[in-house]
Amino acid sequence: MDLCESNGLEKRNGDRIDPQLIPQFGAPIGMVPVSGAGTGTASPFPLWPGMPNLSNPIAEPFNPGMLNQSSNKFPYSGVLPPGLPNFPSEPGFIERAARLSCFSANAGFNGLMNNSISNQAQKGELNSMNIGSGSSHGNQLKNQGSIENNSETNEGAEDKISNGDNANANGDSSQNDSGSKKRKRTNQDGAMGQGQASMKSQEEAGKQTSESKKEVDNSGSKNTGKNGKDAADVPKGDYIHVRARRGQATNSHSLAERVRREKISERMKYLQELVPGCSKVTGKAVMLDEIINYVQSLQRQVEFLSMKLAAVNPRLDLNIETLLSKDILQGRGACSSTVGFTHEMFHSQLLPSQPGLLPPGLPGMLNPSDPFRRAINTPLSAMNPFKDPNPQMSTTWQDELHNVMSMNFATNPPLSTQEIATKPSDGFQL
Amino acid sequence: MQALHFLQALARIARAAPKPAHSARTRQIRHAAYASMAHSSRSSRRTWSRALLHRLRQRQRPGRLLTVRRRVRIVTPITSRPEEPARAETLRQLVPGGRGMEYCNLLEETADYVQCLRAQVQLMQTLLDAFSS
Repeated sequence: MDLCESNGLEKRNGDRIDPQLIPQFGAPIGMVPVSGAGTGTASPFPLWPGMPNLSNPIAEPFNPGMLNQSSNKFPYSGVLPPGLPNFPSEPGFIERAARLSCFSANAGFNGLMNNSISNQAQKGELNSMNIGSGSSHGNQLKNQGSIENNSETNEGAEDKISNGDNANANGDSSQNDSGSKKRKRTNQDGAMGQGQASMKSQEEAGKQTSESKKEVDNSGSKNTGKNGKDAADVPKGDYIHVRARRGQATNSHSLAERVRREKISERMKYLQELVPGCSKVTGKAVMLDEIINYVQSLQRQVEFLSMKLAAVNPRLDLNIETLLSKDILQGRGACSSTVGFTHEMFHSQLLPSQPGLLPPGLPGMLNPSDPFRRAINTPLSAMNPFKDPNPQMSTTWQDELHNVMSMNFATNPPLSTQEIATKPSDGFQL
Repeated sequence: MQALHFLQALARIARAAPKPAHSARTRQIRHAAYASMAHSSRSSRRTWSRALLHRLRQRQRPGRLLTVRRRVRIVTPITSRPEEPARAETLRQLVPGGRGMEYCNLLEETADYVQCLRAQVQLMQTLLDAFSS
C-alpha cells in the first residue's frame, strides 16, 4: 500500500520518479524516523538508478542519531503514514535527491536525509546535524547543507512544498507539480545563486525530460557552470542545460538571450568591483560611462607618467639596474646577470652584518631600494616565491661586492644590461 | 613579470647613447609601458594583449603600415547590435581589439585590461617616486 501510494504520487509527479526503483525501498530505510512507517520516505529515493545501497548502510548511522532525539521533533512521524498531505514535500526531496545523487551515492544520501529531515522537522535541532553531514561531502553538498541551514532558503525552498512546515498546506502545492518544479527552481535560483545552474543541469540530466534545453557553449567562462560540471554526469556532452522559468517563453532564442544577459550582468558586477567608487551606481548605462571614464583616466595617467619618467630619465641608469637586479633575484632567482648589480642586495642583506663594506656613494640609493622592492612586489604578487634563495646567494655575492667596489660603476652596468636586454621577449623592440 | 619587463625596457631606453628628445623618449616609455602590459603573464592569453602588441608593432614599422593592416574580422556588424548600450562603441575604441568582439567578451576583456592598466600605473608611479626622492 505504501508503494501504491507512492506510485500514485509518482505518476502525478510525472516522469520524476522511476517506479522501478520503488521496490528497493519497500524495506525500512533510515528514513524511518521521519515517517515512522516509511510511507512517504519511499518516494524520495527511487530516483537514482545508481544507488542500490539505499537501505541499510545508511539507515544505521542514521537511526541512532535520529532516534536519540525525542519523537516530538518529528511531527511528521504520525502524519506521514496517512500519507497524502506530505507527499508534496517529496518533490523537494526528489529535487534535492536528484542533485545530491550526482555527487555520491551514500554520501549524497546522508546529506539528503539530513536535509529532508531538517526541512520537515524543526530546523533548529537538526541544523547542527545538517552542518555536520553537509561539510563532509564536498562543495555541492555544502551548498545544499548551508542552503538548507539557512532559514530563509529553507522557507524559500519549502515555500511551495510545505508552506512553512505545515503539513496540511502541503496539499495545495501538490496539485501543481510542474509549476511547483519551476517555481521551486526559480526560488532556489534567487536563493542559491551560483550553484544553481549546476544543480539544474544535473537535474535535467537525471530526469531525461523533454523540456526545452538550451545548449550553451561549455567553454565559456561562466562561473555558474563550472561548479557542477565536474561532478555532474551530463550525458549530453558539453551543454549547459537551462530550464525555462515559469511564465517565460521556452523558445531557444529567448533562453539563449537569457543566458547571455546573465553573463553580461555577471561581468558588469565584476567590473563594478574593479572600478573604484562604482558600488553605489546602479544601471548599466551609468555603469558603462563610469567604466569608460575610468579606462580613459588610466590611459591618460600612463601618458602623463611616461612623460614624467622621460624627464627623470637621466638619473635612471644606475637606479634601474640596481632595481633590476633585485627584481630578477626576487622574481627568478637567477644570478648570472647580476654580477655587477649586487651591491644593492648587499645593502639590504649585509648591512647589519658588514657595515664596513658600504661604499660612500651607495647609501644614497638605499632609500629608494626598499620602497621600490615593495612597489615592484605588489604588482608582481604572483611572482615572488623565490625570496629564499637570497640568503644563500649572499656568500657568492661577497666576492662580487668586492669586485664591484673596486670597479667603476659606469663601466659595469652597460655590460650587464646587454645580457639582460638579450633575454627579454621578442615582442618588444626599440 | 610586467614590472620586470618594464624595468628592462626602461633600462634599455636609458642606455640609448644619443639622448633623444624629450618627446621621443616619452613615446618610447609609453611604448614600453604598453608592451610590458601586454606581456604580463596574466594577460598573455587575452585578446586585447594580442591586439595591443599588434598595434605597437604596426607603429614601430611605419613602412609596412599599409600592407600589415587588415580588415577587422566581422563577427557581427558593428552597427547592428541593438541590445548594447550606446556607449559600447566608445568602450570598443578604448580597449585594444575591442572592435571585433561581442559585447559579452568585451566586458571581460575590459576587466582584465583595467587590472593591467592599474598595475602599470601603480608601477610607474612608484618608479617615479623612487627616482625623484
